[in-house]
Amino acid sequence: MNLVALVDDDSIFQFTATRLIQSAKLAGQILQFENGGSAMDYLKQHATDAGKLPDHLFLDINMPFIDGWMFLEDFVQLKSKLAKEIKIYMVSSSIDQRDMNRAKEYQDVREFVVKPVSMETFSRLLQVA
Amino acid sequence: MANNQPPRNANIIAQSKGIIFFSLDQSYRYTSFSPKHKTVMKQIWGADIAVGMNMLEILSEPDRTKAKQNFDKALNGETFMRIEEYGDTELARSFWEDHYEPILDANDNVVGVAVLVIDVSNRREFSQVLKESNARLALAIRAGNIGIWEWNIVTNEVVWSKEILDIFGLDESFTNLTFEKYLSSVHPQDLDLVNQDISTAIANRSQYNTEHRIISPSGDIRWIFATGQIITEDDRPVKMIGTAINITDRKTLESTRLESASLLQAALESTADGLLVVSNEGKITAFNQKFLSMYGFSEKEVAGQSDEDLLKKAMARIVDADSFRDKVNQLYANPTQESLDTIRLTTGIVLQRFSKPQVLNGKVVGRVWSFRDVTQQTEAQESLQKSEKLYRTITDNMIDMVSQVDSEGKILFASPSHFSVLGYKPEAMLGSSIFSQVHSEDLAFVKERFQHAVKQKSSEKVEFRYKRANGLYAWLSVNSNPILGPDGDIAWVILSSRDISERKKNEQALYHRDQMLSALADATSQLAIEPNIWIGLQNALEILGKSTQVDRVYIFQNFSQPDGEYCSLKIEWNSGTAAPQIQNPSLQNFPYSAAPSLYHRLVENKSFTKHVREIEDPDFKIAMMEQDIKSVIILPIQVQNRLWGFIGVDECQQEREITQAEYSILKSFALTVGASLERKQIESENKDWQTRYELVTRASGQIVYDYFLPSGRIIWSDNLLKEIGYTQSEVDDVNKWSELVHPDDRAEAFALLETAEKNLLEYNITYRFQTKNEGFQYMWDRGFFMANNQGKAYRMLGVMQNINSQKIAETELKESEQRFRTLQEASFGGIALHKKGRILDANKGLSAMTGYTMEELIGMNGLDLVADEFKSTVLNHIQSGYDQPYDIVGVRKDGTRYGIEVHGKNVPFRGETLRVTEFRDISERKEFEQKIVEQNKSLTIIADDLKKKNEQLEEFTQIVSHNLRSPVSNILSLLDFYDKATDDQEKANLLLMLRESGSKILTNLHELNEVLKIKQAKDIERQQLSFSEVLKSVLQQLSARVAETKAKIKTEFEIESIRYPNIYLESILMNLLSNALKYRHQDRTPEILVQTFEQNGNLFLKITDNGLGLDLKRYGNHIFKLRKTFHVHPESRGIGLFMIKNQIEAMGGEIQIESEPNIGTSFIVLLTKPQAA
Repeated sequence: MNLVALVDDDSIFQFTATRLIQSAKLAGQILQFENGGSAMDYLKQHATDAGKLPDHLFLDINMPFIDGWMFLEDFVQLKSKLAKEIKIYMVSSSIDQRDMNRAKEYQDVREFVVKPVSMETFSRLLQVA
Repeated sequence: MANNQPPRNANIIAQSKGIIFFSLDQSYRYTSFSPKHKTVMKQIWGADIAVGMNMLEILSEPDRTKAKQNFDKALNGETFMRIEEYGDTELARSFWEDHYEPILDANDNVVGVAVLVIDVSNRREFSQVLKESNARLALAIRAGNIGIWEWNIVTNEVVWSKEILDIFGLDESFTNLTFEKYLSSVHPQDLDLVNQDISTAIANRSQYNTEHRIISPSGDIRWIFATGQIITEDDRPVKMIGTAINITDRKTLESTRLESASLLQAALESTADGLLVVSNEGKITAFNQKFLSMYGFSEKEVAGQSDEDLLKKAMARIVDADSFRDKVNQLYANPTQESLDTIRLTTGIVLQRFSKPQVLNGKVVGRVWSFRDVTQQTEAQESLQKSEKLYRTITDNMIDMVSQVDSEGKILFASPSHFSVLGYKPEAMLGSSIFSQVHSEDLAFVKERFQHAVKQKSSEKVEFRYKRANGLYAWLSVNSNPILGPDGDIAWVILSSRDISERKKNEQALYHRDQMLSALADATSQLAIEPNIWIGLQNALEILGKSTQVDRVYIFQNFSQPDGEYCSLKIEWNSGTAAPQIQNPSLQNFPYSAAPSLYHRLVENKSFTKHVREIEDPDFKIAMMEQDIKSVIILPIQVQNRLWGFIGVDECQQEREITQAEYSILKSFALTVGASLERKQIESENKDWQTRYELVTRASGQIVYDYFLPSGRIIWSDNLLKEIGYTQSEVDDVNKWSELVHPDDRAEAFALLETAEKNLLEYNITYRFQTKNEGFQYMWDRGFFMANNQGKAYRMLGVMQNINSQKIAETELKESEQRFRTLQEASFGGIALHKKGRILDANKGLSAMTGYTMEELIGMNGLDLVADEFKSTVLNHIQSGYDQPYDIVGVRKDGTRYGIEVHGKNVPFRGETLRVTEFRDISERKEFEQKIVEQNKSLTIIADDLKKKNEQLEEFTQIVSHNLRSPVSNILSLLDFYDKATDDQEKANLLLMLRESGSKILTNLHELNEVLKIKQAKDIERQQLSFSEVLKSVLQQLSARVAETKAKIKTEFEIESIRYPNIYLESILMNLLSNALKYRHQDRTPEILVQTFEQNGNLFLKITDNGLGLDLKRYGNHIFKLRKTFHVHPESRGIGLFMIKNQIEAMGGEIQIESEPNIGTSFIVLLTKPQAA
């Protein structure tokens, strides 16, 4: 089963997203991080353990301390050391075009997803994988 | 025709240079003439003139009439001079001065006319050409015989050149010509035409050209070519300028030509002569009825027949047919020959036959024969000849003397006619010797001839002088015929004698006159040859004196003194028989007042011929007698139409009557002397002109040229080589000249030349000319034309001058002046052109700057524009030619002072050093600079403001998209779940989360509102605050936290107070202090330093802690953004720094952070800038 990570400081998004993914049985396990810093710490910790690394990572932009962009910069450094390829989706309530353009600059970002995220979107992204 | 030609003297003809002289009697018969005149008459008229011939019969029209008019004028007692112009085939022009002088006898009766003609071409041209430009016009007018008039239409006054008088046949005294008078002279038949042409010209403002006839006061009709040109002022005709040319001759010629064609036709039939025309081919091309009747031919026999057949028929009717045929054949063999023959027909008719070639366009096309019936004339002539012969025989017999002498010359018989001829009674002569009365000078010769005749028994003819009974000698021509006796010896001699005194007298007079003519030619040539006129005159007097066999010949010159006219003896020739008078003091300064009778004659230009005993003035008479003078002839010498002096001839041995021939010779000599003196005068004048002209050309560099149009030849002045480097031969014709004119200028140069030549205008042009060594140079060429008497240009005199440097300088000057002017007007500043401060020119800029008008500025002293304390500086700079800009203070017209920058430069301008000074108003410049600074400043502020606003807009977009949309999207998701929830517990949970999201939205909106309030509240009231007090109040609110953390708070307030909004300063201190406490390092007690200080007038607040610190490389961009937290801390809301940043910036300040992780953070706040203080 898919291992999915949600990186977002918004506890309500964490709640709604977890419920949608679980109800559709799209993931075996869901890892929850309230900012980029704690997510990065986890990845570094389990870099060589493929079983612990997520297949999909939903990344919020606006977060305290380490935000989405900072996480991506750290991830670029870390990527080669990871035992598993992680598919990253930027998730934001922003409909600012500048944010979307900026996301495209990161090769690792598969898609820019605007909140709220529907069941269909989660199904498409997680099933295709 | 008289056949007694004077004996030719080869010497005279050889010397016949120059002078043309002749005299005529009242019937225009020659009484004397110079050899030159004879040559000229032969050349022009083909006549061999002789004394006694009528001159007018030699001339043909129109010269005959013209000459007769002049002769008649002189025969009426008038002395006058005419200048005649002749153009020869080369188109060269010559001027002749004709002097006419009546010949008077002792009683002042006119008995003839003396004419002296002098070629004055050179001196006339010279003086006419060189003197002044007016003369050029005059020359053109004269040459074209054009009259010029001007009619003032307003005043009706007419002024005219004197040629007009000639053309209209008016005399010199004519005045007050008006246009009406002009019209009244117009031929009635042409009046309408003239009026119409003039009105049309006035109406159209155009030129009129009309040919019309006029009737001169003397009644003759003349053709005039008249032109007129209207001059307008304000489009009103005010003046008319016109010309008039007498074209009668041309018109006459035209009409003659027209008439001649029809006349020819009529003449053929109307003539009394028989006419026959035969072509070169021998065909009869024309004949008339008269010809037929003369020969008794029928028309059929002649018309279209060959001449050969006609000739055969004619020969049968002619008396001497053979010689007739020979003559005809001879004429046909010589097509150009003319002949006049007499033909006798068998019918008794005598025909005079004139034959001449028929010439058409210069070619012989046939022969014209004309026959005149002279039968009656011939008969009459023949009978006259017969009777004359008879008459002659009778008279001859009557006047001949016959005598019979023996072989010794003793008279045996004398015919009665001896008495009538010699005055001797025949019977008284018997027995005397034939030699007794022979003139002693002839006796030996007569005796010798007589003895020779006797000895040879031959006939002799002798001419000798023989004393008459009255004691006077007669000339006898004697024929001696010996009569032989039966023994063969001479029995006696028959002498037939004839009185030939009359003939001899004539012969002697002829000889004498010829001697004198020869002498005159000699004398004249002396005057011409001898460069020193006085030596020439001395020689001439000697020749003249010897030839006339007088005792003295002398010349007196006149001079004026206040009390009257005097004369002095200048030169004398003396025969030796009379005492010389040249040393006689009484003949120096001789007063005319002593000889009024002489003076009176001389002034009237008449001769004074007297026997001394008849002289009326006593003093004069005594003076003459003292010199043993018996007879005297005195002739006036005129120079330039004024009495110069006189020539005199004395007879001292006996009273003598002067012969007409002698008088003529003397008269002509006097004229020649006058002309020589005049020539000398003009020559020396010309020499002066020549000298002046050479000086001028040398000094000015003007090259003078003389261009002869028919040949194209150009003669240049000697400075040609020096000026343009060519020798004469390199530019000696017009084609060579044109090759050297610049190709771009050539067409114009030629067009102008052509126009000038055609209209006889002045040629005036500047063109580039290829010089030998200096390439193309600008040449100024002026020339004018001289016309011949046909109005055609034949010669051009001109001046060429190198004006290259002027031209280039001119162009450069023009350009630089233009440049200066352009610069002046384009300049914003003031510009003055001045000479040592005196303003010569200024631009409008200076006028605007100083407040003076342009008129006031020009001529003003430029120093008056400068403040007193700078005047000496400016003056020094002007004097030293300082050429760098410098600042001074100027004074305007109204007295106000202003800063100016002055920049002067010396410039050479038309030979002077002038100074161009530019004035720049620096008060304006400074204001302008200030304005730019201010504008830049406000632009910077605006740009800053815009940047901030832009940043804030970005922030708002961020806030809206993240902070507001986020909870809304959550609400939507939660509501979705709620709809599907079945469990009440679950529903309650979802509602709780919905409420949380809703309150989050409210919080966010509240915070946004606060930020917006700050941004809008720039005008929030500032108060005077003390940092200590505000800090104290903040620490009081934070007292719990401070106590909890045991933080040490220190202050260093260099600046104690500030004008700032209280709530902002509290907010700033609160946020920064709480942050410092919040993000304290776990391992150590927080220490916080609060400082204020001033740098460059800026007031700073600095708060330094020893807390966690931040990695600014990572977070620097985000620190002051809304909802940005950098620490995982429960109270971190991310609003504080965003708030205070907005507050600080609203007050015109800035906030910066310095931080290092694990060491600490400093916030530096720029609270106020100087101007805001």
